[in-house]
Amino acid sequence: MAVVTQPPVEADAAVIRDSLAEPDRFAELYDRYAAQLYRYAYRRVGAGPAEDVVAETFLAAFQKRGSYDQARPDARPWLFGILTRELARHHRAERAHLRALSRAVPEHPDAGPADRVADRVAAHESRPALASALAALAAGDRDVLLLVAWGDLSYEETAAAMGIAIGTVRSRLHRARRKVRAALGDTDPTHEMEDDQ
Amino acid sequence: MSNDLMLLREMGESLDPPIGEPPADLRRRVLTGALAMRGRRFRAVRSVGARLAWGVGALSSVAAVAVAALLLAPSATMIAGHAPPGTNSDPGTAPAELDAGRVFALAAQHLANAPALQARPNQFVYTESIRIGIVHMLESNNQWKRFTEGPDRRRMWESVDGTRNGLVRSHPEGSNGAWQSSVIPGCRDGRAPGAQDRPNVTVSCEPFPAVATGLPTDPDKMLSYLYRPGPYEDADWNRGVPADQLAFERIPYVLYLAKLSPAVQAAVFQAAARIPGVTVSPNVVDLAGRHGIGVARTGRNIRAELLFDEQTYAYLGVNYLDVGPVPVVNTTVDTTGLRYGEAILRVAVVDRTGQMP
Repeated sequence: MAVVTQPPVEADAAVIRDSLAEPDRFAELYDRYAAQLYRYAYRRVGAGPAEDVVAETFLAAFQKRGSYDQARPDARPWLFGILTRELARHHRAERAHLRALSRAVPEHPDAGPADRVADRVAAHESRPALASALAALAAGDRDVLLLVAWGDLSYEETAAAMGIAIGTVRSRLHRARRKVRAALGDTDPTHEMEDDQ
Repeated sequence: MSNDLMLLREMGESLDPPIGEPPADLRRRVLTGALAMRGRRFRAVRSVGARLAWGVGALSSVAAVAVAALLLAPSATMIAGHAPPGTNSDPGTAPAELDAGRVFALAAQHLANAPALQARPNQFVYTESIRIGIVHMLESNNQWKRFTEGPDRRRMWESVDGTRNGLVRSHPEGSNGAWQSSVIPGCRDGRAPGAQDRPNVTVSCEPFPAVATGLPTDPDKMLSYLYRPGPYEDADWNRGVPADQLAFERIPYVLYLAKLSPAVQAAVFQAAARIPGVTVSPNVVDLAGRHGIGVARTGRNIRAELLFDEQTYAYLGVNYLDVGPVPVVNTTVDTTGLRYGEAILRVAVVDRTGQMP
């Protein structure tokens, strides 16, 4: 049997370091992360601004790559941090996006697998309330909540992305979720958050 | 998972783009942007010189049909028939009497009667220089370490109208090593060659002409121009820096844009004479070892110094020195020494990339 040896995948940090001498290698970082950054930005600000935000993020990353912390092999939190800062410059677009979502009349989505239908209906019906709640959050709280919920960043990664302490991540997340729960009709302020990481 | 997070995640999924991948144009846009920065390599680090990478000074009335060359050495200026300006019959002692306004006035006077260097759209501007820069890297012990890149000798051919592929060659100064080459992608009909790893891909673009048009030749207008932010500046880096310092730091970049126009360069120097807080150092040395007069302004703990030939007042290049703690990302690093330097040796117009003047 032929043994196929895969070339080792270089850590992001090495790609970034090498791109200082060979700027074209920066394309690898784009190919690794563009899709997830774009999806996240698309969710937050919609189609048009998302393209601008992602382009600005990668260009800012390219400019700052000389100061990348080589002790961090995974560049994903770094890129999400830059993305978050770029999103902040598009806060008007995000506000308009959330306003539109908060006004959307709930509609019944196409039926999916049977056991998902109820959830999806619930999600769809809750969308205006969630959008209103997100719009009402402080920017830093919203960033933390959505990096966790939509960006799938861990608490540690969120802290690294935003340049804040992990305790601050927890407190912001706690505050944001309490407000979201209230918007969803949960009036019990002592409600346990059972899935803290 | 709690209901709130689950609902939030489902909301996120319902907002996803219809196609998983970002638009193909986005990749082109990003890589074109990065390629456009590549010619300004030192912009990658937060050094002031990064975005002030170029400048050009002396002029020549000697313009051959195919190759019009100008040398920035004093002898070339003499050949070109521009006697040293001013009344300093004894240049050995004159600099001590100079103030910055006088140096700028003499530099402008030096350019007053010089002809513009003519270039056709299909030609290239050749620039030869020696450059040095620094990069800060965060080490695993969480300390920032400063690395020096260079000095390198660089030969660059930039398309006059920005539509043709240009070329950059560089190697360590004083070495016999091979020249490293990279292409400056030309932009024709809104398309440019893609990244080097994708030769068949073209990307959308806007031409970046070697020679800017429409720059002010009136000193008042030029002064206003210097006080306005340029398109490639980093707002974070410039935040809180006095406007006079920013205006001064923009001078080399505007000189770079005006590299074939003595009238614009003269306006730059006439305007610069009105920026307050500028000092003169009589004996400074550039990266090429040339002695000259330095005209400097210090801000954000960086001393930005423009160098002029001490005989002819031709502009030679820049030295940027750290004189105290300087911000690096979210901290400050206390370093001293040369942050960025460039000695411009030669500017010429040629017909082809790779052609020496």
